[in-house]
Amino acid sequence: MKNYLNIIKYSLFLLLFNFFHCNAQNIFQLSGTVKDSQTGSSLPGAHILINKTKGTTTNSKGEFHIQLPAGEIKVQVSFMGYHPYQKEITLERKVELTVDLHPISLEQEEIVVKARRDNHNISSAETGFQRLKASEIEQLPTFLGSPDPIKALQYTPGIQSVGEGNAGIYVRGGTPGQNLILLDQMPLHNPSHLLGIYSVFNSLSIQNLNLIKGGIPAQYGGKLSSVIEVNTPASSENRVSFAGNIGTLSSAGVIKGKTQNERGFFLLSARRTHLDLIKSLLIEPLSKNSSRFFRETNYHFNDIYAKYSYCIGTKDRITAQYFFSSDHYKYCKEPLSNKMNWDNWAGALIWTHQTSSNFSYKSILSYTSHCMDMTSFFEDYEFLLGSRLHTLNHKLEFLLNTANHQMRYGWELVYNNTVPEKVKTIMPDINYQDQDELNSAEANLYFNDEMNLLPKLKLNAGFRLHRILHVGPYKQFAEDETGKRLETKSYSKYKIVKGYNFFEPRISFSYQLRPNQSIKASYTENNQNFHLAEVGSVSLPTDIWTSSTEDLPPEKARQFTLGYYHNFANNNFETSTEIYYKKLTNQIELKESVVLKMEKEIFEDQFYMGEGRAYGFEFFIKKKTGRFTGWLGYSLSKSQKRIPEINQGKYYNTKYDRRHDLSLTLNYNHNSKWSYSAAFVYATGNTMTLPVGRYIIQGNIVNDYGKINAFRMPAYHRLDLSAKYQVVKKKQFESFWTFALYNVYGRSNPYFIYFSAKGDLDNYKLDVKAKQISLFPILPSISWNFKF
Amino acid sequence: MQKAITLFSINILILLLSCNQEVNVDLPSYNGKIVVDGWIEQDGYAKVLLTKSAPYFGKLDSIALRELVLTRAKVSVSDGETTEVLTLHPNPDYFPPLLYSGYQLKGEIGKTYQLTIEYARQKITAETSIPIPPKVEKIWFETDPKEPEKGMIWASISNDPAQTNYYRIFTQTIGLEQKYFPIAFPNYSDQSFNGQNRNIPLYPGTSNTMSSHPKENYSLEDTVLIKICTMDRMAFEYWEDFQQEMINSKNPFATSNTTLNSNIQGDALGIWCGYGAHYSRITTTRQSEN
Repeated sequence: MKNYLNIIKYSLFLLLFNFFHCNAQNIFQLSGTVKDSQTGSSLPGAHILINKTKGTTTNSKGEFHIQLPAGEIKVQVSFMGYHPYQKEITLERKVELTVDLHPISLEQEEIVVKARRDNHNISSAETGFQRLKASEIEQLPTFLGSPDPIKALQYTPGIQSVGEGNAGIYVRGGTPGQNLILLDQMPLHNPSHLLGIYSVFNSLSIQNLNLIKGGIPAQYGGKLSSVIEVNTPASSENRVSFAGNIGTLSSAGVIKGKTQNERGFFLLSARRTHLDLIKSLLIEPLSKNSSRFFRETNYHFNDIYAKYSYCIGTKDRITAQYFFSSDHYKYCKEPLSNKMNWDNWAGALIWTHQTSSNFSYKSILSYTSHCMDMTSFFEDYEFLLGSRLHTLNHKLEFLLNTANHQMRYGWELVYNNTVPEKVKTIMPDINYQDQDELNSAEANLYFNDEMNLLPKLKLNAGFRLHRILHVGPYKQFAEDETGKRLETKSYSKYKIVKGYNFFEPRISFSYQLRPNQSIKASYTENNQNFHLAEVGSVSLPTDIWTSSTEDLPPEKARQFTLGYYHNFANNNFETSTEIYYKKLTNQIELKESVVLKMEKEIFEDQFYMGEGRAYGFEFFIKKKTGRFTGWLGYSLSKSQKRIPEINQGKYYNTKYDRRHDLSLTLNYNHNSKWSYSAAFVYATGNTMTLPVGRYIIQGNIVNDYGKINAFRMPAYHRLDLSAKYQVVKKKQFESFWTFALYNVYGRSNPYFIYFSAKGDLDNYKLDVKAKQISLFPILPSISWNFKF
Repeated sequence: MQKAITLFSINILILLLSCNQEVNVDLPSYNGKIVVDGWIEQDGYAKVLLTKSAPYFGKLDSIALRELVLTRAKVSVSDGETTEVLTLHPNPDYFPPLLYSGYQLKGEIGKTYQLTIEYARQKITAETSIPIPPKVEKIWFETDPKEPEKGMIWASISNDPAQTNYYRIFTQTIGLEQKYFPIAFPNYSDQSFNGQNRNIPLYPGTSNTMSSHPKENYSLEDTVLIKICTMDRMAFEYWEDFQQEMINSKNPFATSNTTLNSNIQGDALGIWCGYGAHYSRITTTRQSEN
């Protein structure tokens, strides 16, 4: 029996020995395919690393094969622009893997660096953050047939819905010049069309839109109120695809695709108005009084965006981008003719290098300019008013990911050349021209770390060292007691006139109370070299951009945000409640109006300088899935300014101070053919300064104005509806019609109120009436959209 | 230039005005203020028109307008040595047709004049000076090649480069107008032409900005009186603000909401203005030059 047992033991030993022995010697094949998780397209050149010792790359079909000894292995897959993938497997036979990589997409990298979970809004440390996806923008009712991403943003809380005729983005009491607007990381200065009625972004080419209005991380700088990132796609599922839209105001198209070796990606989008073609069909019947105006007026705008990116090897990607938008307005009725052109153009070269799966850097060289020219001819008289703004920017950023840290650090160097006002007048016997030109340079060093301090506590902390230099050529002037302008000092090119140094702390944290609840807080300081002085009561291309000088020091903002975030129904409902307080210093206000004096003044003397404050409460609830989706946003806020020369130096409400601002959007997918959407906006009326009395000087009626911005226009409200009819929806071809009604109940929302005095003092008759100008009545529109 | 910009703004307004409607606006209650429209020039007596301002939407018919006129004020002018109380008498050329006027104290170049108004326990003061009158090099008429029967009057002025000079220009067409009216763009400072001669087109002015359309040219055989004045900086700033207000108050693309920059001290409105005046006369012929 004992022998028998020994035989068994020995046999078992031999068996086990043979087994392990054979196993140690066995080689199995690990193969797989690496794909883009969103588009399903294969990813050639992805990097596969086994136990950090052995590796390979995917072939042109995105496939890889590697022979490995059997055992426990750790597979890491990384690819430029995608989140790294990691998996532990036991290799005991041939294994096939399908690896879906989630794109970081270089353009969205700033915000979407982490794979987004359903409760991302709860777990992240971001405050005052909003993201709108292309599908959400598309669902909203359109204005004249084309969705507008910036208008969509105005439906969210904290962004004042300023109404028609103004694409100015007023974020938490800030001015339109205080937003950092980035199109695929390229800054743009004045992105609006049609006197501000439309934004320059073609919705067909947009993937998503991110807005940060609260805790702005340290990698963003130079603007006080917000960061708005407009991102276009970084990859394509199909070899070539085309999407188009033919609307009542404009038509647009976008073509995108990848190169044969799948390493290159291209995108080209273009848009043009055909208002000049359809005005006689649509606008004249609606506005009978203005038919003559439209006969004498010509207007069109266009914009184009192109980008090409190419992966070199497995670690580098180069992207080239170009953007151009222009508006042309012409009015001609003998003997008067007016022309107004304004354009934006920007170009960028971006190089990204992935050193390892957790370390990368990128270099962004960009140039952006905004130009405006307005020319008027009247018989022998010619008048030209223009402005220029050119910015050259280089940003180098390093990104280091560890288990609990995500660090970004780098520098940003900026050179600005600005012509705030260029004036030329030709009259018989007078030929006057003058322009002010300002040059400035900025250097920034920054560091930002997003940390997981505790399982429930996240901290996002950083700083920015910001130096602003006003450099020559520049002439300083002073006035003597008679008002005579005297040159006091002259600076040669690149000579420093004035330097400013700032330390900008940025900190925000989130504490997760439960998996679906968190509280967050943030404190940020920002400084801004540029000032934007609004010429009139609406945001216009004629507004004056100027960089800082000794007498116009840089603008500064300090903002504190506190928020509570709660998701319901398995994250199907998202809610956020935030309060904020913002303090602004060195805010400028234009003394005079667009009617400039020909007599030359000291440039800086055209402005008042003061401070501002804004505080408010914002609530947002969003339903993300189901047949019914939509959101409701509400803001209760106050925005004030204080300028020593105005209102006896006391605080007064700003032009876009809104006590209440409510937006509701609803989408309903009825069936596979029909879907409907509605948007409703209600906002307290704009403030205005109105005359309270009148008096007579030299036979003229002169207004005696009341307190500044003490009067409120009637409230702004509007309902828009739209319906989408899906004609075809196939993989190869998609086509749908959109029918929209803008301002359904024909509300005459006030755009401007003025007073008209008629009569004759000699006959002792005088009649004064208040008149209100409203821009758009009920406007139906239709558009045909297609994709193939 | 201003004309060109104004026309541009109006042009844009046409688009907007297609959706233009009357609205009711509730304004806060308003207490009328004293309004001073006074002037003095060299070799002339002080002249002051006094009214009260009215609530914006108050009814303004002939009775209401007459009630705005202040007839019981004590108005005095002093040059620092002599003080004269002005007397009220009718003058149909002005509105209101009652003018406080002096009869003793004549304006002198280089002197400063203090205006004091006492009314209903309220005291208002203002100060102005009379600068050296402008040096007018020549005045001439040029016919319009497109309309040979019409044309423009030009004035050439030279100025003292040592200081900033401020000008305001008036014209009166004999037979058409009873008094001087400011030209269409009447205010100039010599910041842009300091020390040089400047040719200024004298666009015909109107009695007030509520008139329909001003005439753009002079006709042949018009006899036109021309008054070119210098004034101090405060007066210039007031008239510049006044001009801006007249143009911008109906324009949404402009900022118009501030009370005019006045030299009147106290809870009052208006201007007390000293002029160094140069008078000339021209009859418009095909080759006329003064």
